[in-house]
Amino acid sequence: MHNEFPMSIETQPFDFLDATGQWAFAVTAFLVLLICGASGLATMTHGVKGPLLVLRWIPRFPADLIRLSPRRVFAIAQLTFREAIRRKALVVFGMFALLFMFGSWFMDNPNERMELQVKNYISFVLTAITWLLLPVVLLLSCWGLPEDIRNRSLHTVVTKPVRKTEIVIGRMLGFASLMTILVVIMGVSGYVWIDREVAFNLTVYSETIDVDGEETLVEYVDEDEGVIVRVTAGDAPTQVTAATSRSALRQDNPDLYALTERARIQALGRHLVAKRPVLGTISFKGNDGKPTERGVNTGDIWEYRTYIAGGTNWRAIFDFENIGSEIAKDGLALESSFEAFRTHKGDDIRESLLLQFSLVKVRRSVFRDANENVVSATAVRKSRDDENAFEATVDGENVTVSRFPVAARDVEVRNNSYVLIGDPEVVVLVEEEIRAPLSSFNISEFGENITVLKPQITFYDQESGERKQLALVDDLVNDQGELRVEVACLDSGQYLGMAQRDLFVRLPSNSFAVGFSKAICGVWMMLCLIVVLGVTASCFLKGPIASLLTFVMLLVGQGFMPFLEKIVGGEVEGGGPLESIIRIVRQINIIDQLPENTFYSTIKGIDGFLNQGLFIVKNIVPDFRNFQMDTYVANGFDVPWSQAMAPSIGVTLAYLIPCLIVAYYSLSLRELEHK
Amino acid sequence: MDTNEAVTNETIPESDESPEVVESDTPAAPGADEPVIKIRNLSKIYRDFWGRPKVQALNSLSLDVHKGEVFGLLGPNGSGKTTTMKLLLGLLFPSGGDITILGELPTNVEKNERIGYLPEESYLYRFLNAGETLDFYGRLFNMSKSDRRERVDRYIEMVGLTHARHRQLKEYSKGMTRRIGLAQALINDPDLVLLDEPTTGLDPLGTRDMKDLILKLRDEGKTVVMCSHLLADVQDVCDRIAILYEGELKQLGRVEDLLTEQGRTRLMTSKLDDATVAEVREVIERHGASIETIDHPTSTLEELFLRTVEESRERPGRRFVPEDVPASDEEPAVSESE
Repeated sequence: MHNEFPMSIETQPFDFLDATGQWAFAVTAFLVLLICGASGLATMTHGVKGPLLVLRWIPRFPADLIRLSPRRVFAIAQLTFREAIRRKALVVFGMFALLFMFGSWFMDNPNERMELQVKNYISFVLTAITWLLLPVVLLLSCWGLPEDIRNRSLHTVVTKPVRKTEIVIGRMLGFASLMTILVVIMGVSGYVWIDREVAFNLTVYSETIDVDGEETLVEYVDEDEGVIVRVTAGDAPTQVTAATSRSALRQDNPDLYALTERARIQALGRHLVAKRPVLGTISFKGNDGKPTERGVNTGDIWEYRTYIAGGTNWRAIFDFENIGSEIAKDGLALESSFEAFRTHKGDDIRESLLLQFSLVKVRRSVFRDANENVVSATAVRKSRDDENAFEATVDGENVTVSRFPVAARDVEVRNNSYVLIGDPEVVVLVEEEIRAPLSSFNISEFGENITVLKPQITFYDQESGERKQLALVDDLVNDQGELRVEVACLDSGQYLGMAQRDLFVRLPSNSFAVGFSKAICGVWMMLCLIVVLGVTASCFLKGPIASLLTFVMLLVGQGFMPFLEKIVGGEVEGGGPLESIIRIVRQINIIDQLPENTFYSTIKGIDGFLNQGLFIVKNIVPDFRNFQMDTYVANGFDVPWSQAMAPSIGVTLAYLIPCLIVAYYSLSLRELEHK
Repeated sequence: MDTNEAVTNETIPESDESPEVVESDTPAAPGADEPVIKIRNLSKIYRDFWGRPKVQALNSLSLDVHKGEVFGLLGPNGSGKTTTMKLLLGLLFPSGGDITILGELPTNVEKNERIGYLPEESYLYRFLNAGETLDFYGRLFNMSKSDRRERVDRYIEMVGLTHARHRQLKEYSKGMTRRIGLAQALINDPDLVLLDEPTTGLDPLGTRDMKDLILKLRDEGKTVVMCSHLLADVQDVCDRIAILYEGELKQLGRVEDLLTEQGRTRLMTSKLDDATVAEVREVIERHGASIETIDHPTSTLEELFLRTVEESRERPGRRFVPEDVPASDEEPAVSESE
């Protein structure tokens, strides 16, 4: 895919090197555990010779892998593919077709906003593909080898010069190929279906199009009573045309129909889009002007958004990084979607809130002495001798210190100060150099709010009382490529809620097809990982148990991972499993302290041990949340490389080698005769 | 021969636990130097899930199979024939003892390049057709496409399945499945062929073809190991046999040596009249021996069947008509006495 912008525009680029290091560490730890376990088992069965036997087996896997024959692998892959096809795996297409044939009956809702309808269609297609293919791939991959062993058809394969890795890789490749074909066909059908459904349901639109160099607003409404088209060209008066139906309009007024078609295609492109956002970090400034971690709590139990009070000094601060000249030379687009909380009705409930953005150039820095020790900004002062130099008092002595810039992502707000995330003891000095308040505007609460920042920003400077002009990149973006946007609500008594994702720099959008393809890629990678896990499990378990194990891994990795992370991180109140049972049986509230005695100490000790087990489970089970890309696409966003694509690819590849190792030794160390 | 009289093969060391094995002292097939298969004190115990012994399938089995011979493993059901075969192929792991096959361990994959295996039942992929089946197994031997195509055609024709080449194996009869199973076992032109119950499921013609093929393989210098409980088949083709009973080796040696009754003599002549028979009896009795039976030799049922089928092929439409049923004029018939 051609990408005109570097990937580093994302706030946290995916670090493949770091990920590889972590993977290598995890796999090494896993292998060491495996070897220790195998040695213990071998000692029990073979005595002192046991560990030696284990050591003799270790080099066999790499040796097997090196001598792999692609022809044999493809032969087994093709056999697997044929087997699945001839065992009617393609019946799933029938179910898919049925869903699409009748799905629109239940999904078309003309009263719903178009973007919500689009969201429904996309979610429906991606969910249908995922949940139709998941059981197919899970059962096929978990039952293939056990069935071969049960039918003894594997006997005729393993008595040929076929290596165990070839069997495993061939099986994985065969199922993955089948999945690829299924996913591609279903993805293309899904895309066409979405496109047609959206086009069919787009009955109301208002678009400005270029007609002979003149901006022309085309408003189109298609209702049961008939079609009404309003055309406003430049300063010319509005022309209203009515027709009984769309086809009648086409027959009676072909030129106008062509105009509505152009507007319709443009509207379609606006609804089916893959936006590319650059997200920033969010912090707040309180009424006293001091930085604060969160805004006002309006009593909403969902704390995703916090609020700034209108008509006060409350501000929301968004810091964007990597705003280089290559993306901002022609200006920037800021897209916002804030939520209002009204304390009074005002003149008209339909009237939206008034909002103002200010662009701020900031310098964010820490200081270091000659020994590279970091000195907090609170102890720093300007040198009396040299106005460009700084001094600080360290251990009672005056030392000269140097200023170092800090990236916005490394800074957070604590105790009304900006501090370094890595060392919260270090206060970061944030100085405002230039401030450019933009014109205020009314927000649309349930739609896109796009503020276009031109390369030259013109604003009214209250201090001088003059209009000033600043260059966006040269004057307002700091040396680190950072731009700060400060948000203020101008309506007194009203509140404006926001979260990190509610304001972003919008880069030129990708086509919807690109975003949708990436989401389909996510589904495909998840299915591939299921294939890898399923085939591996089937090497040492029978079909039903292998299916169950793979399904549980999917369930835990998809749905229970946040809960598991909380348990392992000790964030769940009420203690571990045993403590929870005791609290339930004895009806002890989760916030009550347990009595301190030997019994409860033992229970906590056992829970600690079980927690270690859960820690291992959490680290063994793949995090399937990485593959959930439908949320991005359904909300009109492109799937980001660093946050979604790269982790998905990483997770899929990371499990391949350990699974191959487990599968190889499982097949090699078991008797393949079914009993 | 008195079965209590043990003749121990010098090349096979006996374990302490080994029972006495009766073996012919006649040397193995000519030209056999290095054994193709060498089994020493082989034991196999099947265990349950908890590792407790369930069945002792083999107990201290020791034997050699030499290059170029047809070796038969005989025994009733559950005697350990198939277990031995699977241990040789590495499908099962021994509980004790050693095996080398073509000079390698059974778990060594490379040795399979030179081995062909026909399982007890043809455990093939039933969703493939004959051509696809042989092509698949050919690819497992890393054969080139042209080589595979040539061999697939040759072996399908050899086993007589050209007419059913494009039918899936699930539509095949048992005999046809055995034939395609045999073709897959031979696709790599192996040096050692292991046949587990090769004639099971075959009609007498198929059985004869299979036996002819085994003998042809032997003539080509290949080693064949077969296990069966159809004694006539084994007797027809095997050079040496081993008889297993409850996992133990009871007999081992050349077929003719094991079957020859050294204490008796059989004469076969053209048909004699009663006077001549009396005269012969008198001569024999004069030498201190006695005649136990005098009768006319009978053909085997297999020979009769094959002769009948062959004649039917040569004279199609000819049918058997019992003597009490008048034959129609149009059709050639064979009478009951014919």
